[in-house]
Amino acid sequence: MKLRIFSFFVIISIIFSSYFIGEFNKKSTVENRTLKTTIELEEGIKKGILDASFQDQLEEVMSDQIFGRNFQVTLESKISKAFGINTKFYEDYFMINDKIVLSLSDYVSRDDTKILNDEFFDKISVATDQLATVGSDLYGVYIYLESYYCARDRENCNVDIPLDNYFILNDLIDDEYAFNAGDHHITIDTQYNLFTQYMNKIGLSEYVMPLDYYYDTSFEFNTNGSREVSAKNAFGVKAYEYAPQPLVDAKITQGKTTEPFNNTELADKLKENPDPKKNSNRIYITPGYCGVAKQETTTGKYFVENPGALVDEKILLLGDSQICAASAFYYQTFKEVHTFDKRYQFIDVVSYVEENDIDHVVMYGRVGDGIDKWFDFENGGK
Amino acid sequence: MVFSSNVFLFLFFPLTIIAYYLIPNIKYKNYILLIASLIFYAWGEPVYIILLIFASLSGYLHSIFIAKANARGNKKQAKFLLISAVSIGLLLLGYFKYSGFLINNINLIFDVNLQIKELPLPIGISFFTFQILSYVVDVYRQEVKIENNFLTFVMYVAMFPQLIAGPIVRYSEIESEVHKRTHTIEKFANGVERFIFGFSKKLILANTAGYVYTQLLLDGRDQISVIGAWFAIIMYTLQIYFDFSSYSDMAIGLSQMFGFSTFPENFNYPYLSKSIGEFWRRWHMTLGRFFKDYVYIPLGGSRVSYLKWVRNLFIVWGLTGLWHGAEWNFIIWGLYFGVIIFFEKYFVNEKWNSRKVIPHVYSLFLILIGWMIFDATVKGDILFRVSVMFTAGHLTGNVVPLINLYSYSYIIQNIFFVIIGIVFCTKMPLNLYRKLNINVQNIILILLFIIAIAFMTSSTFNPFIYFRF
Repeated sequence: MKLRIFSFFVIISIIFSSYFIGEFNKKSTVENRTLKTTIELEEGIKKGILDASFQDQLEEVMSDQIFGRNFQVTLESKISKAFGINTKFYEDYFMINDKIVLSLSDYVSRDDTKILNDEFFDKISVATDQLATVGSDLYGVYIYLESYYCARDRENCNVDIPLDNYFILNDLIDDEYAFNAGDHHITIDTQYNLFTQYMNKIGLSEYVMPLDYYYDTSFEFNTNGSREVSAKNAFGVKAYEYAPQPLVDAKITQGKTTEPFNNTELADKLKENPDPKKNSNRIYITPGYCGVAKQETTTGKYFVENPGALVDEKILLLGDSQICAASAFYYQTFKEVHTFDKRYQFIDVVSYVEENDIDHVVMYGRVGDGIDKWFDFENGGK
Repeated sequence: MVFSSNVFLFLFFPLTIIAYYLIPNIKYKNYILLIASLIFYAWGEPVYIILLIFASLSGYLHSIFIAKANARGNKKQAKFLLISAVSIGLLLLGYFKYSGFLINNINLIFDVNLQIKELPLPIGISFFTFQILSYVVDVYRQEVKIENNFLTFVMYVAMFPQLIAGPIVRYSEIESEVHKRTHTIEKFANGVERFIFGFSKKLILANTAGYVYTQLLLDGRDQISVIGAWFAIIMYTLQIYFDFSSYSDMAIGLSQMFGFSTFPENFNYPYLSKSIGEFWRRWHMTLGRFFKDYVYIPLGGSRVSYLKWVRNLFIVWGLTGLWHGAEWNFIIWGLYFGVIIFFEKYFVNEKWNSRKVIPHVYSLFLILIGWMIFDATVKGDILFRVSVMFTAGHLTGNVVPLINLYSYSYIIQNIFFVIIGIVFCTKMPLNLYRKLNINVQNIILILLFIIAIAFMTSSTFNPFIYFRF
């Protein structure tokens, strides 16, 4: 009995006293987010107590500064996983292949945050008339750098964004839960993780190279964001990722046209700049060459052939535009990589697979995005 | 303030318990409890502390005058005072909880545009109003002695373990312990155990079930399927039980740590019931007891004519529904159980209870439907849910599939959790735990506590459902 009471109070006492010892942590390394350290009341403590904002903030500070926070978050994650508790599935990216479902619930982010701040604008070299000004309706709404540039005139936005701006942004970025969210739309680290898991599942793990291999042997660089995002709680719009794209001797078939896969110009451009991958706080730049078949732009086929691929098999990737970023790893690996954006390209997957001798079909998607409509699950997952 | 928060567990509670045990005198211990309870209540809505004190003062003064009238043998005056006290209590409750509902319905029925200022619902108003009323009625019935010390009376009404989500404690139950109670190691240790059980039940089981339910049926409404909707309601059934019973566990555990040993139980494995009548004898027992003793029996109970009995039955169940919230779905929910209990009079008997499977299936099915109605607070939601669950959407013209990937994914991902949840609705885990060596029990308790704290730290989804009542 005494031991029970003693243990109970030891735990409470350790946590209670920890609030008064040492400095508060400013950042959670596990969650990659800024922690709340102070209570900020605009209208004084009396008003703050009466409208309960003081109480709310105190709870936030105590929660963020709790003793062993990183350990606790990790423990919760592991226990939940071990017991099959998955409360994050709605925000979860997953990939599906036949009977394989790979979940990314361990990696997905929470709410999105705005990545730009005043300090950033002071440092970047951009004409101010191209930016949403502080105080304007647009300020703080957009998340992508490009959106800021184009906020004034989106119709005629053709601004050359200096590469340096991305690095400045990178230094200033203090983004919550930015590990695996980016444009497009989960970061390369996560794409790589998915790719690795998938290859393991289908027994081709021997063809998975270390991540650096893909960086070292290939990449294309482009700064085109896919869209402006103003919706709150939108997933995967926190930051930019630069994606490796293959500099292999490959060919792209787009509809009826086949041409070499050549991105040396962009690669050269990148070489003139500091290597972002060596920056510990990796900059996120959108992957460039987004090769996804869309009904309105192609006659219905988009694939990359790589004669030097590691595996002599063909793969079909289905999903939204984020499979552009994923495809980089597959280009390096498979002889043919076919990509379809299921939002626009309502192909009969079964027929397509048969006609093109596809060996593997992978579906990428997010549960919350209404993936049922893409997958046509109701009709047997055709 | 909620029990499952850092502020409560690592600031409020340790400071309160230290102050409480530093003071030797029971009278001053009660004052510590009073001050702590007022801070606890004021934490979220400081303004409503005035309402709490006013309601207590009304009950306190009325009870004193009722006791005096009783002593003089003036029953007429005592009854008048009782009616006055009950009216004030119900008027306060009505104004803060039901006025918006009433005005909206008047506007709807008579096509007028009456306006009323929207006020936030004072936390726990239904609970503390009923506690005050039960005390006043008991004084009128001369079943309890009056409490002469106003501060002690407020302490009874506002005692933080049970203030905002029950159990509804009658003064007669803790009367003796208010002025004289023992503090033993054993009682305290039992309190710690009960608190940890409730704390972990809330953080690990209730919140998880609640999150999945929300994602499937609320946020994922556009992607719902038939099986998905049923799975969501099962999740809600688990959530509401774990949520509410965990609060009662923590309340009883805390009361034991403060020396009280007579807080009433509020749950007795309700999902093991063989009938709806039995379910309500096991679910929110203190509320059922309140309505039985203060409404049903005074109306004549079942010892009246058949028609009056039917009337009494539906009054009680209508009020039970209304007590839970100022929405039609709650009233329908209450009457739904009234109808079932009416019919159960004709077939629930010893023979029925001797069966092993059918009564359980019958009860659980009706309980599930009940919760489906209970949480359908949005207009048209009941019809939508019935349509999805029973007609695949054909009833409302929005046809949904039997199963879709969205639902399937959630079900597959959380099926193991559901099994765990169902197991924890039975007596088995506690029975197994009780068979263990005390040291093993202690280790389990501490591990549970640490894990639940980790869940609390990681989670931002932490609402207690019963706070809105």
